[in-house]
Amino acid sequence: MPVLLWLTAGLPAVGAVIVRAGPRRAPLTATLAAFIAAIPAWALLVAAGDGRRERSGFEWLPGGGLDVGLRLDGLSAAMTATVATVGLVVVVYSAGYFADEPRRASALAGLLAFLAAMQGLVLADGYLALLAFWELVGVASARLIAFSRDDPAAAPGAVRAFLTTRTADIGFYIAVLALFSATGSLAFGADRPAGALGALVGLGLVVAAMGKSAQAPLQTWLSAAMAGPTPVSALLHSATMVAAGVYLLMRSAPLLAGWPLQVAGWVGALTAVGGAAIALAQGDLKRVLAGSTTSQLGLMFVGVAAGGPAVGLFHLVAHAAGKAGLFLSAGIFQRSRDSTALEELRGAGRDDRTAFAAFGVCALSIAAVPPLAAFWSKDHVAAAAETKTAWFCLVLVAAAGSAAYLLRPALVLWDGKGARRAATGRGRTPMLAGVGATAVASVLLAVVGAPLADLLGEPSLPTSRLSLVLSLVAVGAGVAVVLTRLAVPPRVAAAARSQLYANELLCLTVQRPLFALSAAADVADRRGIDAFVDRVGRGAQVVARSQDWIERRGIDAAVDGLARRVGRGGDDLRRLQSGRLYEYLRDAVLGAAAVGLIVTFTALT
Amino acid sequence: MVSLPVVLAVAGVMFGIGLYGALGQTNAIMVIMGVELMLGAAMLNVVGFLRYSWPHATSGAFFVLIVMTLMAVEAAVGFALVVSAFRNSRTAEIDDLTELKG
Amino acid sequence: MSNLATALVFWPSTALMLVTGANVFRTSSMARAGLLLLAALGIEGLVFLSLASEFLGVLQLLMMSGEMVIMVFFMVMFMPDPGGLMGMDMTHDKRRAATLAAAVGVGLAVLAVLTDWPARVIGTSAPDVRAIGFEVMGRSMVTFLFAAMTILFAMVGGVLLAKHGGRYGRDD
Repeated sequence: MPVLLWLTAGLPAVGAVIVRAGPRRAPLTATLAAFIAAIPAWALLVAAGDGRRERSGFEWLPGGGLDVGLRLDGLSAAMTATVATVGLVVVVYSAGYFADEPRRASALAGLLAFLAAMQGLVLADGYLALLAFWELVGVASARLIAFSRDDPAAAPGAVRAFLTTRTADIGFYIAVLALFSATGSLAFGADRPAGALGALVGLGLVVAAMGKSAQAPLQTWLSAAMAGPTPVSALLHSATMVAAGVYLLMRSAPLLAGWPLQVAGWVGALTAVGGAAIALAQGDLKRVLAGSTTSQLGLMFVGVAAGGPAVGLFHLVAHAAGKAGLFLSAGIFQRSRDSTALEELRGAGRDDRTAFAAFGVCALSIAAVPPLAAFWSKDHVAAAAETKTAWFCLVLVAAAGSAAYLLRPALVLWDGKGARRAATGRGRTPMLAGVGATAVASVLLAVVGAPLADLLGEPSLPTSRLSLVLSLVAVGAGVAVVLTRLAVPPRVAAAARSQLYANELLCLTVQRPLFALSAAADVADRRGIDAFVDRVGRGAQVVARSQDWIERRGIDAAVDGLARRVGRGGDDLRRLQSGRLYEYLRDAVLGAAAVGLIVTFTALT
Repeated sequence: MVSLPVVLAVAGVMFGIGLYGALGQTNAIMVIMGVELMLGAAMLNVVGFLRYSWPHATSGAFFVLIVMTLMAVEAAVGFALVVSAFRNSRTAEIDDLTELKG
Repeated sequence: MSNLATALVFWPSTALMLVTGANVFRTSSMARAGLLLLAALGIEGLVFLSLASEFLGVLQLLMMSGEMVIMVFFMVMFMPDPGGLMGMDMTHDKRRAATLAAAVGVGLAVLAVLTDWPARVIGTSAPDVRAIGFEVMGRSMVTFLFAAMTILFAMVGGVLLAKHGGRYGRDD
């Protein structure tokens, strides 16, 4: 059984290597690898449904309480099955999407590598392993976004995605450090420690989840990430990676009990509305879908906060199927019109009716139209949020918004005025297979709500007739808004178009202070420290010069002077030898006289 | 009246005169003459001592004898030197005979 | 000699000796200087006689006369202006020499006068000539020999130095 855990995480990685090794057969090998890698994941789901719970790991730091490993429980089984299935669908689709792409082996291998990391993330046992895979997933995402070498927006999008999530991950690091300092262990299921460290744990995890799930005000990276290939957007940025933030909240429920979950709930509720507004104002289909993803993730936050992990999980699964389908069909339209701008895509739906049918089914699901899957999941979210009136209202507004922002592009796609010719082209079969699978899933997943709750060991999901009715009313309201072309105040529209000024906010609150701080540090360094060091150096020079002066003027002069005086003394003494006899005589007489005097005096005394 | 101090005093004065000559004269021969005077004064001293203190000290008389001899010898050699120097440098002035200066 | 006789000979002789001695250095004539020196040293012999040293006195007179005469010969032969007809002043640095000489002379005289000489006069007779002879030939023979050798060397040396061409030179 533990082997299954490691296989689930390891097989996609092996598949990635094989795909790179044999690029000619890449589509085939990639599909095979994804399929084979999905088998252990489904087996795990079955085992978990039977009640099996497993852990497999090792002590990374012996005696330090830092264990690394994989675990099987209800939550991880559900997640791993979802990831494996969506991954398989997207890989099959990519075989067709990348049909004309010379570097398709690289793209497919990248998708498989991402799958390995994502499986590791959902199966991770303990915050240490979770953090490691969290970061790996971020790296894989950035690499995949930057796939295109021709698109100038690809690299900046990858950079923005990576940096934003990485910055939010500081919260994750702080939380892990605080948790370890407080309890000495990073295992799941612990209660939040008391005091300041506990607050750091709660806040840090919420911030990390916000970053990864593109909640306001950190949501701008998701729009920038749309510069990546559409399969990447489908797999990473709608179904799986961005859902990791929700997964973190679900996994950390005991740690986040209380005010952290409330914060998460508020963030989610506000983002649900904000994301919907942004989605309504975008002119690019993928950006509409990105805003929608942000909004739906906010609803998942509310679900976890108000109703517990099961509510969030159901919506996550339903949303994964629907949003993936929307992106994949958008990719088909992109292939036929070579663009994702709504204006360019006018009428593409009429050209490719099969694709548009799939698009429609998935859109109905996300817009919460019964009896599709996401209707039921969103209904549970709304029912759970009923306890908090503010959240409830925001959820309803978001529901209205989701209907509106999906109807708008659908109308554009179906518009007869832009229709050109029937759809053709290479690779249609795999792509259609992919979108078809998602559409079917969006229908079938309607019934998984209760089993998921069972899997997680929770009581049944909340329902409420009030929320049911009001949700339907909200959907109708959204449709009405679009059909009647309700005018929106231009200021609001402008704000929505520019991501509700989230970037400007971040610039003001983060960038400017940081730059000011670094400028101040530079000044301190140059004026203070450098100046000090310079002064020390110059002081040493002054000392050296004074020493030199002392030595030259003082010591050398003394020594030279002494030598010169000795020399002069010698010269003077030389004059005694004048060669004049009488002087010698005179000196002799004087000497003799002196001796005589001395003798006399010594004799007398 | 004539006593030892007198003799010694006279000898002393004579010594002074000789010294004056030895120091003050430019001609080498005159310097030698001064030296002779000084030696004479010394002899006088000894004779005085002989007379007034140790009359039977024959060694004293011998001393005077030797000094007298050496006076002569010294004068002779001195003159020879002066002549030789005069031949070489045409002068006997000791002011000019200063080649041995340091 | 009796004290009176001694004094009668001593004082004039001494005075004359000092005067002539001083005048040796006051002439500009070398010949006259030599003769004056002869006079001074000869009179010193008289002084010796007055002090009861007959042998030494006579010896002095003899030797000095010979010596000075030779000296005069030399001077006349080799010196320019031996007669001092040009009136050159052969002195230099007169003042310093004079002061020093005066200081020394006066000092010695004062010393002689003031010293407390031991009073031990043993008889009035000076040494016997015989005794001196015995002394020379006996105890002081070695000194005498050396003196003799010195004279010999002096003679040879003097001749060598004085001959034409010097020590190594041509004999012309």
